[in-house]
Amino acid sequence: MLKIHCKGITQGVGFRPFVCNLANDLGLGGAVVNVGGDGIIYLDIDYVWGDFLSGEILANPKKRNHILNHIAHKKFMRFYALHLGGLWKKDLIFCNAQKSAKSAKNGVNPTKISIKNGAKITKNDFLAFFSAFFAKLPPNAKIHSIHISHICNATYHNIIKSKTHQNQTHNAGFFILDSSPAFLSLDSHIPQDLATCEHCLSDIFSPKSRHFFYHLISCTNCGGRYSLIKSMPYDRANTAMSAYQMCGKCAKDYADTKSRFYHAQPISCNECAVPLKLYKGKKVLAKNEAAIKKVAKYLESGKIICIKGLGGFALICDSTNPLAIKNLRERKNRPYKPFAIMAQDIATAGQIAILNSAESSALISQSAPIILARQRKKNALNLALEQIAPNLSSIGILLANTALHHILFRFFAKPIIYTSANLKGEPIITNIGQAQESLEFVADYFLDFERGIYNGVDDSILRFIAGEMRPIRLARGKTPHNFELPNILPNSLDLKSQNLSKSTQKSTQKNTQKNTQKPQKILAFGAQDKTTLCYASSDISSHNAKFMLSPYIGDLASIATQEKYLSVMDFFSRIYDFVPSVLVSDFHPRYESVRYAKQMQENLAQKSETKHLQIYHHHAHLCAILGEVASSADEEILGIIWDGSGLGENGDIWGGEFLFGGFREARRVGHLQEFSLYGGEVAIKEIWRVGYALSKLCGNEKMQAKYETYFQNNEFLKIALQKGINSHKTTSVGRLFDGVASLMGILQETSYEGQSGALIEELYYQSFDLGDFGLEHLAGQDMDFRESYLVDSSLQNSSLGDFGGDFSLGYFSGDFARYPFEIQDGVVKLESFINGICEDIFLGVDLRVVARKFIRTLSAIALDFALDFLHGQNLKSSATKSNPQKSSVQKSITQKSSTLKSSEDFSKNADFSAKSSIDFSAKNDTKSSADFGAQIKVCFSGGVFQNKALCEEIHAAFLRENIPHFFHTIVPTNDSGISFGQALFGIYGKH
Amino acid sequence: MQKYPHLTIPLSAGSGGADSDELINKIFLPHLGRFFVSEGEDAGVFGVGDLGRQGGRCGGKDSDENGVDFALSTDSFVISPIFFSGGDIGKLSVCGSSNDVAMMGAKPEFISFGFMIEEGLASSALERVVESIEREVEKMGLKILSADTKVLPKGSLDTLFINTTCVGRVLKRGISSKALQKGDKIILSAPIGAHGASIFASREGIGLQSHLQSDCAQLFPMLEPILRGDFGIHALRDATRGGLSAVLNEWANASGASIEIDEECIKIDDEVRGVCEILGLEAYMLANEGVCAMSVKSSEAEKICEILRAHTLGRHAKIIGEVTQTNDKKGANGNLTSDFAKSAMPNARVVLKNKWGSKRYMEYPQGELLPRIC
Repeated sequence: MLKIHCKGITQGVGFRPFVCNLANDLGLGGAVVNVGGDGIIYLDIDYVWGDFLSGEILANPKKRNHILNHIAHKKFMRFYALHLGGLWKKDLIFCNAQKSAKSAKNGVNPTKISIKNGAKITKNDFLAFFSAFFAKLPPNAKIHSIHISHICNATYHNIIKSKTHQNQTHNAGFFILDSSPAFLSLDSHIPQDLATCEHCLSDIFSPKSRHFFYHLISCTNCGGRYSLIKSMPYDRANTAMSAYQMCGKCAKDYADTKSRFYHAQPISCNECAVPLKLYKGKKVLAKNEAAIKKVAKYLESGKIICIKGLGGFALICDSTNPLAIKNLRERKNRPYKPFAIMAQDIATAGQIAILNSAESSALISQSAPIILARQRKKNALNLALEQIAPNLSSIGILLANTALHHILFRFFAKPIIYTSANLKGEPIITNIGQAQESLEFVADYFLDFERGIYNGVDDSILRFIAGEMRPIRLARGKTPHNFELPNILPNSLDLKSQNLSKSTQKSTQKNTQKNTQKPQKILAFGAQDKTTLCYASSDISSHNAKFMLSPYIGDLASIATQEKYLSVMDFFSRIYDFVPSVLVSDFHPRYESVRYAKQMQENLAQKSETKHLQIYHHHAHLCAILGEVASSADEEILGIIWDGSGLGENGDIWGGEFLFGGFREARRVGHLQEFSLYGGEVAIKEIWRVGYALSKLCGNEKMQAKYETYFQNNEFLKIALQKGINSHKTTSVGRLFDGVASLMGILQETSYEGQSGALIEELYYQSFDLGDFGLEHLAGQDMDFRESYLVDSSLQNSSLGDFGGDFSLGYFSGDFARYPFEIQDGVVKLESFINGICEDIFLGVDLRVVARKFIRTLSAIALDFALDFLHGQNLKSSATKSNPQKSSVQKSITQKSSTLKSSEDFSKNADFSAKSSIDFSAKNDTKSSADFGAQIKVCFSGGVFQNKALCEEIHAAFLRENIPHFFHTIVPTNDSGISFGQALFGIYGKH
Repeated sequence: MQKYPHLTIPLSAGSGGADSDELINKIFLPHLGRFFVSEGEDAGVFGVGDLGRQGGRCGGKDSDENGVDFALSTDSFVISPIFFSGGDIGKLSVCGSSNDVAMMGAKPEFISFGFMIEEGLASSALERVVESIEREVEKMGLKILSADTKVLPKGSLDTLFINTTCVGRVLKRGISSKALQKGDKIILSAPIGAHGASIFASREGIGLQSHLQSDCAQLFPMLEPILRGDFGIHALRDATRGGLSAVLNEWANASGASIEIDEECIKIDDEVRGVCEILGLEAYMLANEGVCAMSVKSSEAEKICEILRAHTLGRHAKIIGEVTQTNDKKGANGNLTSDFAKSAMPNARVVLKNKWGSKRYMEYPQGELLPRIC
């Protein structure tokens, strides 16, 4: 009897019936059971291992290739590498080393298989079972590891006996057993919510089906999962469906291994329906299908409806009705932030947005995320785009993902506005009572089905940037996200330090042993805004770290979000029986997450040994991106960490950082020149304060005077600003975007985060209308964008009309050159850069050109700094190799081949010319970086890299120079990725 | 108990917020805590019975009905500049100690002074300060028990420091920051932030551009009818250093209570609001010298407000919130089941509800306010 223990996604995906049917087809006896989050198969077969190795399969290349192809397709290459290679033990190690970078990038780990207790397996049954197993695995099941061991028949019979007391499914000697509650380990996945599958979709529109127009259809391939789960294993009794009795037909399907509803925990149909109700206030207006029809009617008349989705309520209205959207904006107190829209299918989505193949497949995937794409200017569906995404030509779009959505679209055929129902800054609302109370004055009607939502979860957001889909927000359908980092190899530093410690004092040795051998359980507390939690467990000695990233939680400024934060923490701690030994948080004293970590450490310290580690914000960003790309635990990278703000080591607000280092520590090797945030936090909203600070910094008196006329009547303000009362220093690129938007006159007060970046990005893309100047630098990359853009680029200047600036669109010299800047001792000086912008503005240069030049300058700063740094590292390494003499390179980088429009002014800066003694051409740089610096990866993290325009400029520039560079693909580049970086620091960091 | 984490005392340890707590809890209380009769209150209360009872004891519950309780408070005043719009260091030194005594439900009666004078202080300035003291002492009918002067070499202190100790008879027993009751209403006697904002403006040399005036005043006359009447006053505090936020947070901590405040009910004068907006300050963290908050029995709250409003200092008195929970460690998240997630829960906090219904915590003043938005 074999025990086959499968880890991965095996619950809520039809795994057990699949195994049961498979075993029956093959005439094998045994059983399958859910234990905790895993699936365990008992299979009544024997196998003699040696036979297999010399077996006919190996001798038959055709047969072998056939299997290999199957397996490769299913990403189970590794399994067969183990078996067919015939070098069991050796291959295991071999595979550890060879795990492909690609799979690590996507968070897909190759399957691991190990055999314990010297299991003896007969080859034919074994092979027949496993080749079919891998070839036919249900679409949403994912197997990350399999452990095979041998158990004796007596043990097996005891297991069967203990479990076959009630409604078991007997099928010719193969049993599906009752689930066993057991605590999960971090590699056991909690199933994620899935959008309605094809079969269910066809059922709800087939009059013969008992699911005809049923709003909550769900089979083993689709429906609510994480959002419904109260505890594991994933059985109906542990979900929000526990309150509902199955009708006879559902019960039959549930028990029928041939049905796709077999053990579909949330199963229900029209006969045992979960009631659907439409409310006005607290009064029920209509039920079930009639309710949906009414909603359609109300949408048509411009009403706003609060409707329950998988992870929480959403506010919807007609996306072609500007008045309805305007109403929604007013009631939600959300004047400009773009709304997402929901389309009924991919064809409709394609009429709204220009979608490349990656974007399309992301949209139709069962995680059904919001994709940020480009609007089709043709606007065939006549959407009220200016109300949906004011001043922007990007659009957030998602597809209908529940049966309720699909049915609604039968009665209302237009795309709808789809935005989370919540109070500003608070989490998505999950119950009707709360919705009715909080949104009394926002929604006209409420559409609710009774089934509860245990775990509220927002919509996920992805964006195609620099050649790949990148996560902006990971929530419904994408999280909880369990993954490993197979690429991170044993830490040579650990080995070194172990060796060192042997030769040094005993105490050091003790410490090293303690650190390296004790398995650690790490809880990372995340940042303040967009926070997430990351659970990790690591056994340093076996170099095996597991991670679980929680869904997006939100901004901890509000109490409701803090409560959600704690309940998410509670949920996962309970499910995984996780008592952390290490808590990792930021350093910022005002982050709620830091306060919670401190509080927990204090309370836990009495009972157990709990460490609280703190890591600086930008180092955590570096760790997060390094975790995605590292090939060893002691790898060091150049991290270009640009974000809104985070506490730096010197107590200032950082955000324009160049860090060099790894998980253990990072050194600040460069940063943007500091500028002032007058009034502290208020400058993050009133961005004219930053604009003014920049105008003072660059010494452009004309610009300064322009600002001063704004507040000439307010003596108090004038003095406060002049004296810089309550101001903080910052190096933040996010704030630089704000300041430049203010200088450009396109925005003086932000109404949503990232607004200035979005507007500048918009102008950047509009600049392509001015002609193909400078477009050649994008050649070769992202052709999809380039082409779609050129075909569909009829953006109107008039879209700038609402910007409220008094700078009109002006002349364009046909030059997208970058602004001058200099880098001195790692500090990116901003004077000439900002002054260049001011001068362009007073010259009346077209704002689209200014935006384009601004983005290109930032990209050039990143590139020049990286080249300079890599060059310096090379000199250092070659100097230490050949010549111990210290070679110091003190220089500033000049612009390269591109011509500068304002080069006259630039060269007037005597100070700069004097310093720019070393001026190497791009070609030299390429060589040097390729020759020496290639090993050092340049990695980007921080919220600024959600800016598509900037990332694509950078990507193109780094490609040209042949520098290995990386943006995030596993976790978001914004602060949602911080917890992951913190967890990595907890495992590999220096402490 | 962990050791005090700083090698030298940081300036923020004097801010009246979390850093001050740390200083007191980790350096003073370990050594002196056991001698305190009323830890964590504005003033200490001691009994003087007919029978000549020895030593101090906690006033309140076990107080002898025949005995008389006194409240005593000592405070040192350092302020820069020593003259500011609406007052000066002299007035402040009387009001400060007088108010601390009044906050224990006592009538300020006796006062002592210690003057530390920097060499070179203009004698006219000192005289102005003393005249100001004269006015305040006279207003309250205080008796001076003792006084001392020291003159120190130039540079060893900033201009003039004054220490005062005030003593008064307790009229109303049982007032304590530990005595908050569930359902209590929180009353605020006046608009907040005027003192802090005006000092800030004066210090930065922009006082002339504003009409800001410190609210510095003795509060006892306003409180007297309430203290003499039969009202359920559980806690009473003037919102000095650390502002309203420090008072409410300290109450929440001391009583293990959750307090919910309606942001819209907190009155802030336009001038103060303007300064706060321009400078990026939070009004509820600014110091006041003539504003108090009280936690009172719900059914008497309106009546108390009426009485306060009859006095000019209390004309804007208003209920701003209530105590929603006491001694409940689970707080609002009562359904958390795992012990360890529970361990991250703060015991008690002050909730600020805005007009949209969104809630956030009223932060306890802590060092400078570093921006934290991303």
